[in-house]
Amino acid sequence: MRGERYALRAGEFLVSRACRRLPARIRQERYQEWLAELPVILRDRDTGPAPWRVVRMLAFAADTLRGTALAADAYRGAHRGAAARNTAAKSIRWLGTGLLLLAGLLACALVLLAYEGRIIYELAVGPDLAFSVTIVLVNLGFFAVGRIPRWASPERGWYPLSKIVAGVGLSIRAIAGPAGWGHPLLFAIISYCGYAISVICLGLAVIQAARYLTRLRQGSGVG
Amino acid sequence: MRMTAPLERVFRVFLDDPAALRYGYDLMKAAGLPSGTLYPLLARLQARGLVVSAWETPQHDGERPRRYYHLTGEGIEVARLELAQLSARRRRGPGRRVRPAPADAR
Repeated sequence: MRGERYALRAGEFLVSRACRRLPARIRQERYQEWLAELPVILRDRDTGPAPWRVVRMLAFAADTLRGTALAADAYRGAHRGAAARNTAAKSIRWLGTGLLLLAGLLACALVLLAYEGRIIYELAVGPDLAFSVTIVLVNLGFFAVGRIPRWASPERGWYPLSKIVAGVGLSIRAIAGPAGWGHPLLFAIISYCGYAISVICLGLAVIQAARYLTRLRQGSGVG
Repeated sequence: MRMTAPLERVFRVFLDDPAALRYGYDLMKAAGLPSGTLYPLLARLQARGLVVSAWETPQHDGERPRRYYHLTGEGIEVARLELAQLSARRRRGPGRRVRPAPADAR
């Protein structure tokens, strides 16, 4: 499977982090046990397609981390409640971590929404040169990353390219407007077309993701 | 040992075929439990002598040995007894609520 080595490495890292919380006498044993399960999960074709198996493998590894954090006493041979006093505090800590992660994700989503909103505003009202150049530079960065052979795929280049076109159109509009050269409508059309292509790319990505999830659900017999 | 829903599931999986050797991942799939719940549970069962584990010999070069688990004689007895008591409690009516294992829910 493509990228199996990297996925396994990520899983190994999570498992090693989990084992750090265990008593020294059982640490190595548990590490070996969980490590041996990772390739099995990754090659378990009953689970579903390769990306889903990677997710399951990483979920397995990440959950060992939760298990050792919340129930380290179980591994020490203690019975429930023997040292359960710490469990509530640990649960709260994990809940806090989860909330922080959620807040981070929400913040990222808001930033992306604000970015898209600003582009639409620039397209509609009138471009700001600094922001237009930022669009071009950011998407040049995305485009360059997409050219790295390991991640390269032809369709992945369309989105940043369309945004670059939109950004270039906006930039030229911002320069040409006050200078009075060229036809502002032409640059506006270029930027509208660029943005329209990027919206189409996003729409196609959403359709692909929805189809993939449907296939996944049918494949695993859920739903 | 307090009977919890995960414990009930694990007992049911083991009792499906008490002689079978079960790997952690197989147990996870069969019981529908995540690793962070299953392994601490197995560790507790081991500490009480209800489950034993051993390492398999790898069949191919470069393969890591896997650890498998099975119920001890005492474990089989305790599991059967606990599940029987649980069924009896459920028949008697609402008492302490334990979420049923998937096999029961069907």
